[in-house]
Amino acid sequence: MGTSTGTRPQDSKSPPPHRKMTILDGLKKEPVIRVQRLSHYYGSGDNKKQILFDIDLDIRPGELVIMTGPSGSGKSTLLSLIGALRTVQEGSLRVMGHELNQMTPSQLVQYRRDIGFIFQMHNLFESLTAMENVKMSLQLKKVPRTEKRDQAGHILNRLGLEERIHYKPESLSGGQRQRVAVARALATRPRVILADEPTAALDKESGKTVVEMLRELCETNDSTVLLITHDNRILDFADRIVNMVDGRIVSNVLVAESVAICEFLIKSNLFANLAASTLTDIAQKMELEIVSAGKWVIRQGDPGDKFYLIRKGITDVVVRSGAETKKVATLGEGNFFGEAALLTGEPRNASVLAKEETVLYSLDKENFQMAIDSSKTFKEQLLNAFYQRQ
Amino acid sequence: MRTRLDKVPIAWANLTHNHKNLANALAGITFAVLLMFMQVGFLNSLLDSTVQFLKILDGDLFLISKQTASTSDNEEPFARARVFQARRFPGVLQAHYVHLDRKFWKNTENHLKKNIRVVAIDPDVPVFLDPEINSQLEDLKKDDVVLVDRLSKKHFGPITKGVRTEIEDRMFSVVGNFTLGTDFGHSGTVIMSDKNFLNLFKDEDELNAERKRVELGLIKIDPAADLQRIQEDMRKEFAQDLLVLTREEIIAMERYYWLEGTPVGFVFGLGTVMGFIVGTIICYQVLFTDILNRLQQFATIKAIGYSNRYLVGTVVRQSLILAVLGFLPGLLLSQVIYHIISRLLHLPMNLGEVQVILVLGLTLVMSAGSGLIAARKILDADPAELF
Amino acid sequence: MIPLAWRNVVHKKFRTAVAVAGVSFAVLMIFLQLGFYGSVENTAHRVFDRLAFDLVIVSPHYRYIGQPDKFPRERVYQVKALPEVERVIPIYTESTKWKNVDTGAKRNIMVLGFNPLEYPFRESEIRENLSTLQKPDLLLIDNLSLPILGSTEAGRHTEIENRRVTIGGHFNWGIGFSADGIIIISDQNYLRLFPDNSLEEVSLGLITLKPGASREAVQQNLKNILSPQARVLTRQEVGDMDFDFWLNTTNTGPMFGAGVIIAFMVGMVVLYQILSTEILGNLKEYATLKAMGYENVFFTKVVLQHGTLIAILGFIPAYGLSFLLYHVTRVATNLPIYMTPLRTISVLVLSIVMCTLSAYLTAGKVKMADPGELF
Repeated sequence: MGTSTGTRPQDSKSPPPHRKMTILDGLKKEPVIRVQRLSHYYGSGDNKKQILFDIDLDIRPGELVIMTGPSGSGKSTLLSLIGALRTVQEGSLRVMGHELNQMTPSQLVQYRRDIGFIFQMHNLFESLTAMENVKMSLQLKKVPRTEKRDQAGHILNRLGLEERIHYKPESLSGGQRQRVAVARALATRPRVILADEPTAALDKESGKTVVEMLRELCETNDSTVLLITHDNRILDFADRIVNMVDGRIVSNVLVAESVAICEFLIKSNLFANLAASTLTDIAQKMELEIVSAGKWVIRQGDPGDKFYLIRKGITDVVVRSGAETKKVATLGEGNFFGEAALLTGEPRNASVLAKEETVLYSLDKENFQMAIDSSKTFKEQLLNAFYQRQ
Repeated sequence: MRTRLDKVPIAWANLTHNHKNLANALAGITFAVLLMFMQVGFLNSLLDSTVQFLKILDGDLFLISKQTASTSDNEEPFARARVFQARRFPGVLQAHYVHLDRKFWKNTENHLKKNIRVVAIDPDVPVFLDPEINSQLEDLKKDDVVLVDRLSKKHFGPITKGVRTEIEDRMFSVVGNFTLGTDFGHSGTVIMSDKNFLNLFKDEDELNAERKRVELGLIKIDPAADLQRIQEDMRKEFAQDLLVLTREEIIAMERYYWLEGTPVGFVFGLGTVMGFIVGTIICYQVLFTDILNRLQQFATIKAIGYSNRYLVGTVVRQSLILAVLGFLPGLLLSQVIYHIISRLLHLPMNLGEVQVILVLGLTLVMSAGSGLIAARKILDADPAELF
Repeated sequence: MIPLAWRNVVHKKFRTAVAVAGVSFAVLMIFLQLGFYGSVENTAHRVFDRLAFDLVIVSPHYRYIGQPDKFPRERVYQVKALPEVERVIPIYTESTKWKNVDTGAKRNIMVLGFNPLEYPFRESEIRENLSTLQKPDLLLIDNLSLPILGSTEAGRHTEIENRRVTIGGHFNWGIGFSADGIIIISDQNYLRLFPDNSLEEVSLGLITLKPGASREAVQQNLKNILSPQARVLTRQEVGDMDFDFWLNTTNTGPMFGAGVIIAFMVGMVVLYQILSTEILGNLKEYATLKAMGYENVFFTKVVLQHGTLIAILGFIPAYGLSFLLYHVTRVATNLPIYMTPLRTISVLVLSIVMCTLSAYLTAGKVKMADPGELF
């Protein structure tokens, strides 16, 4: 039986910024965007070219996701598909409970009204003022007249455009135009916001305002933001960073979680000596599992297939010998278990029961083995840890 | 080495790059050109239709009464003796007369009587240029027979060979047809011998008067003789009551009468002038819009650092190409419509070379003008602002 | 709602001005052609509008007022005998030549003769000159005859049918295309001028019915009585016959019609160009609106509104200018060419149809706005 070598549950008050908790709560929710085996092609016949390959991606309400990757990697196509600007060809795409390829064109139009679009180009009507351009989106929501004006005015003020509300795009600077476009997309407080380089044309200050507004919508409105950017300044606002290359997702990191996992891992004796890159590799490969109160996570005697890290919650470790069952330990946030069976190849030597709803990260056998193989130190430490527990 | 051939044909490339834009602009110019040609065509058809009768007559000099302003609208008689007098002038080969009148033709189907132009001639002498008429002159010598213009209006009923009907209450047979066409004053024409014509007059006094007068005299001149001198001499001789006109003069007079002397002429003249103004303005508008549409492309060239001269040259060249490309289908289309109209209305629809050149000229001038004005806009523009 | 179409119209002032000018000229052309067409129609009704009658007797060979043919006067007496008929006035017409006293040139005129004891006109304009008409060889001439007839001052002498006549007075009719002018004479002078004619051969018989009599019934009755030597027509019917003559026999109808059609098409093409420029220039913006969830109906509406606005803006100057052109035509030709409310409305409708049609065709271009390309 193993006791935690990591942080003890009671002092696991490592300072997660408040938003991490939001994310963690979010993680328990149904994904707002669920992409499954999504492939997409451009052209036809001999010119047919595959742009997306079997994409799987879950994004939960309140997440701010940054998508990165070289141009041509398929980020924009993925965003277009999620926004229903293109038709799903292969695979499944569920957004806000709608399976997109089962919707009629007019349903898709309705669907898009719940999405905020921010394009790289501002695409404002030259003939309309900043205020009117913003109202163009509110108008679709059948917002009463005065409210429309107030909402548009409010959001433009927040973006520092109070002086320019009645200016037409031609008398606005590039950054101001972009901010009007952002205001137009956010005025309706959409549940899903798709943005392409929204800060590229902005100075540091207004870029920050824009991202803060997006952040705020995530937190107060449970909005989900998918944002393509190459702007390093805003990376630390992301909950998740998805990196695409050649039409495939090469990494999908829940940033805050990844950081938290690494922090837990590194605090343990077991992983203390690992390089940051190895840790993040492990963290990335770990999968989220949520076990409700009173359920077993593992059972004594089962074959060992996973290694677990407790992200949140409390579990009891119970050993049964003969007819007698005995609680041998209580594990909490930052503790891990399940490594013994993986290393020895023997069945589980204890059961783990969730005392309350518990969030766990698991690493499957294969990845666990690879992680061990990749670092001798890591292996030795594990073995060491294992033997210490004996 | 840089030669002219090395240059990228940017004007052409610009134009052909966006097919939809090109088609759009061309359609605009085509219709503007068509508008001009249609109005000219109507005016021409009005004027040409009134002289088509004169054109089938064989004569070097024409005699008409001084009071005749138009041989198709108010032909006045003069003494037939004048024609015989004309024969005595040296150099005159022949002098013949033509009676012009309007009589009632009875439609054999509905028995309604309609006015038809009667051209009465002596069938022994060939006064027509039209071989079809000349080949049937022998048939005209019979009693109470006529040739009928096959392009006469439908309200005359059957007019083909063999039809028998009344002209001024006298029974006539149609012995043949010819092709002439209607004009503003006449909806149909028959040709008959002067003998048969005079038989239409039952009143003795009227008959005697008619015998002695004709509406038109046709004079053939020896090709070797001096036509101008003979015309001068005849003018002096007949100054009191006749006009002596050359072929060109009588045709010009007829056209002038309709163009200047009648409301119809004015209406179509004004229509043509308006057509030209509108057509020209629209050419300008289309070309100018087109260039505005391509402003970005020009700004790019400007930004790259091409000279203003090159820019202006390109813009003007581009609009000239457009003008020509739009003009040609306009011309073609107008010919198709002319053809349809002349088939439907039996009206001559023709274009004069001068008119074609005039329309082309206006289109080109407008295109160059709009090109220059648009070019100014480009030169004034800051390339930086265009991005 | 944000008036996007209106904003687009006002924003690109120059482009709008060019579009308005193009449409305006096309509309002006339509006004002109319809004006001509209208003057043909006026021509047809011109003389009849001046004559007082409920029904008119004409020869079966009647073509138009210039070629009415004749019927026997007996028919007039026969009709007079009917109890429903108040009176029947015979009118004698003839086409003849008028000698321009200044140049000697002869021009075609129409002659209208009547018995001065039976006043056939609706207005009393001629009544003042009845005593003049009764004098031998005195005539009244239309002031609105073509200037080409030469001097028409009262007291001037000229020749008709080789007979010396004197201008005794004037009236203001204007008969358009029918002839270069019209004169009114007494039946006695008619006989003097045309000795071969007889008062027994009548051109028109103007029937006035007693109050309360049914025009239809009388017309039906008369048809049977008069056939086949004469026909009886209503004011509308006889006007239509004249109109038909002018339109179809003289080919003016199809020509003016073609003019209208081509002007219409020119207007359409011009507007199509302007509107598609507008759309192509805003393709990305329209695509963005599509992405945001605007439906196709919205774009069609915006483009149609844009077209309609330009139609209305283009109509106004064309309407003004057409008065000028009509005036020029009237001064030059005395043609009865006037703006009518009906024409104003129908051209307005036509220009809106023209612009709407054009806009509708252009609206398809918004399909080119592909929101899929925006990211």
